[in-house]
Amino acid sequence: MSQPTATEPATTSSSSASVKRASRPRLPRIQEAGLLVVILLLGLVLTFAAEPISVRGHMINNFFRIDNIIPNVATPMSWMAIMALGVTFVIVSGGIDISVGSIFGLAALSTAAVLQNFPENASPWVVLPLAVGVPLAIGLLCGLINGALVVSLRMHPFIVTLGTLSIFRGIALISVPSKSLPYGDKNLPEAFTTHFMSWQLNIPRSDGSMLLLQPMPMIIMLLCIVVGWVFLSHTVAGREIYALGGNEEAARFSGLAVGRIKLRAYALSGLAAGIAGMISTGYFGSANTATGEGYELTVIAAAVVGGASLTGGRGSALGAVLGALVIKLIENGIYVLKKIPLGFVTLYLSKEYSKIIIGLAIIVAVAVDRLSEYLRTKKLAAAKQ
Amino acid sequence: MRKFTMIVSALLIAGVSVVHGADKKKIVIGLVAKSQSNPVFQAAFAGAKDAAKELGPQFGVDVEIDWQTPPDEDAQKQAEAIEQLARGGAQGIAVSCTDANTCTPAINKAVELGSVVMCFDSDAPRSKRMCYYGTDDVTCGKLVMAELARVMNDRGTMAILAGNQTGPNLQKRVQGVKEEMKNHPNIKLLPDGIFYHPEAPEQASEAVNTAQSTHPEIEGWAMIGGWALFAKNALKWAPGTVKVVSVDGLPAELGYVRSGHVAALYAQDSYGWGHKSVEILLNKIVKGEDPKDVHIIDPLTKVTKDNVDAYGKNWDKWLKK
Repeated sequence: MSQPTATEPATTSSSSASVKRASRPRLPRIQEAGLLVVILLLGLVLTFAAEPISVRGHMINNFFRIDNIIPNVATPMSWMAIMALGVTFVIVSGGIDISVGSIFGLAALSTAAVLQNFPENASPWVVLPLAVGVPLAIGLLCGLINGALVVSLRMHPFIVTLGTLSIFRGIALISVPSKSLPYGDKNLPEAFTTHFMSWQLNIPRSDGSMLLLQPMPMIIMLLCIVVGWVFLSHTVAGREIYALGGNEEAARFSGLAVGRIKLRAYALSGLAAGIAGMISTGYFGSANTATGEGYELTVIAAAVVGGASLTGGRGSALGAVLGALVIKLIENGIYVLKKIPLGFVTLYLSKEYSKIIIGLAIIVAVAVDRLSEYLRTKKLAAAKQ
Repeated sequence: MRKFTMIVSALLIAGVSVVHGADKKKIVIGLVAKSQSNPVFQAAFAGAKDAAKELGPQFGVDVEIDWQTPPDEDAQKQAEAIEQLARGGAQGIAVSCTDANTCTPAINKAVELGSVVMCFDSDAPRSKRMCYYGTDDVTCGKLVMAELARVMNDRGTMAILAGNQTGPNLQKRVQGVKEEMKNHPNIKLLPDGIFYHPEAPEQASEAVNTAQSTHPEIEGWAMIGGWALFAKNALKWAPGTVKVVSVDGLPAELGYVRSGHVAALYAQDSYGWGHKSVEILLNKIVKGEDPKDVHIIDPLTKVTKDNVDAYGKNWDKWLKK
């Protein structure tokens, strides 16, 4: 675990009261402000470098248009950002959760498995409580299992969640012989899909065509950010997670219930994956046994790029979402740029490039984190002298 | 600040207009296959690019193929790609669905946004797609099984290599194999003898060899997709000791026919998935012509030792070797 940091005074406090005192509304940290600059720069580069495209007879910018930014960036990043928020809780506590993709898939499949038994026009009063309750309960349960194993067996969380990643995926594979739900000719109830999670906003344009937006995933993501931010920054329970990640020994000697806090962090991570699974099922109107496979890497990358320190003690709700936005912008950038003329050679971009660029972004983010940690330690040492 | 926000919002809603003098109408056709790692889809991509070059001048348009296939199989990424293409102005989209359930809402949305969407290889029958071009999968399964029964002399134990279980086309091929098995009562399917696996050559090859070493009683394989044969030295037994009949006829598979490991291949028109799809889409987009049938069936080509070299020459032409 890392040493207590100057930016997180809660890590050196000795009681819940002092933990609470330490929390106060703050402006975004330098790392988050830096991310905002990166996002702005990326946006500018993509706006000016993207080739114009022809849509409905008009030549328009391929990146800077609402038809791209909302449905191609903000909506698909919603479930990733919510999972990144959940993983941030765990990373801040000094742990890691690589089972989120499997929890996401299991929650999504469970929701589809339950809801496919209802008629398409079933009442929302019956459908919605189940559509929300089932994935959240599955996610929370999986998170609690992870937390309980980490706390009770005192095993490294990477090993525990590597095991549960496989177990949760295996449960999904065994439970759904058809591998994809809803089965056969069934459809999920519209009260959850087209009337709620993939509810469509039709905005008439000046040329007579319609702008079609499905804002619900984004709205839920924004709600989750606010709740996550309030929890981490303004509640004792949230600040305790920072205290634990900053220095576990100090937290223990300060009288904090370390095991309970860890359990809370993993439970929240599972819950967030459950919420993401719920959104995905409603938005796509289906789930399959491969849903969420490999998402853990993108989610952890988003949290790390967003400033969560893998040594614990640092990270924020806003950072997680900004990290997810950076990653989605990179993916979208590759789509809108397609090729970069470098003068002597033209670089043709395809989806595989996103993996390289995201990998580089993770390494740069961790390097920046280590550098800022080094500079902070040096500054503290100088101040002591 | 408020003024700035209003200007940005107005620009976003309108899009940033750029005036361009275009001589020829440009048609963008999106191609969304299951995965880039599967060679049959590389063949489809080659076919689509050739069709763009050949048919563009005939239709009096410039055709651009926008290849938006995920690196690995991922139905959600496919759905995102379909929506991205439709919102990016692609007039036509051809898609091979990894999971029909997940792709259906995205296809419907793309149609609503004004794109013409068709499926190839793997259909989304409940979607608003214009048509499907590909194999009649039940017939394909029946053909594979009938040929396997012939080379097994109508007796013995067999297994099925079945790919990804979420693919509706593969489920139908398995159904076809099972239906044809009823005509061959002395051939038994190994209990739990349908082997599913990710559609990557190494994983398919591993699935075959693990099954064969665990169940040496398997005397024949009905491979309803050729994934395992896309890898070199995938079959770890002497030629002819275990009978194999497979779907697909890619260059990598032809070597197994020559060596005697595989008795027959039923080659799908994987090059045509791209070529024919572009032709069908251009007919609709430029001429407004609907296809004659919603299901356009690709006649499978049987490849054996007798015609393997002649068939192999097609690939030299298709892939411009």
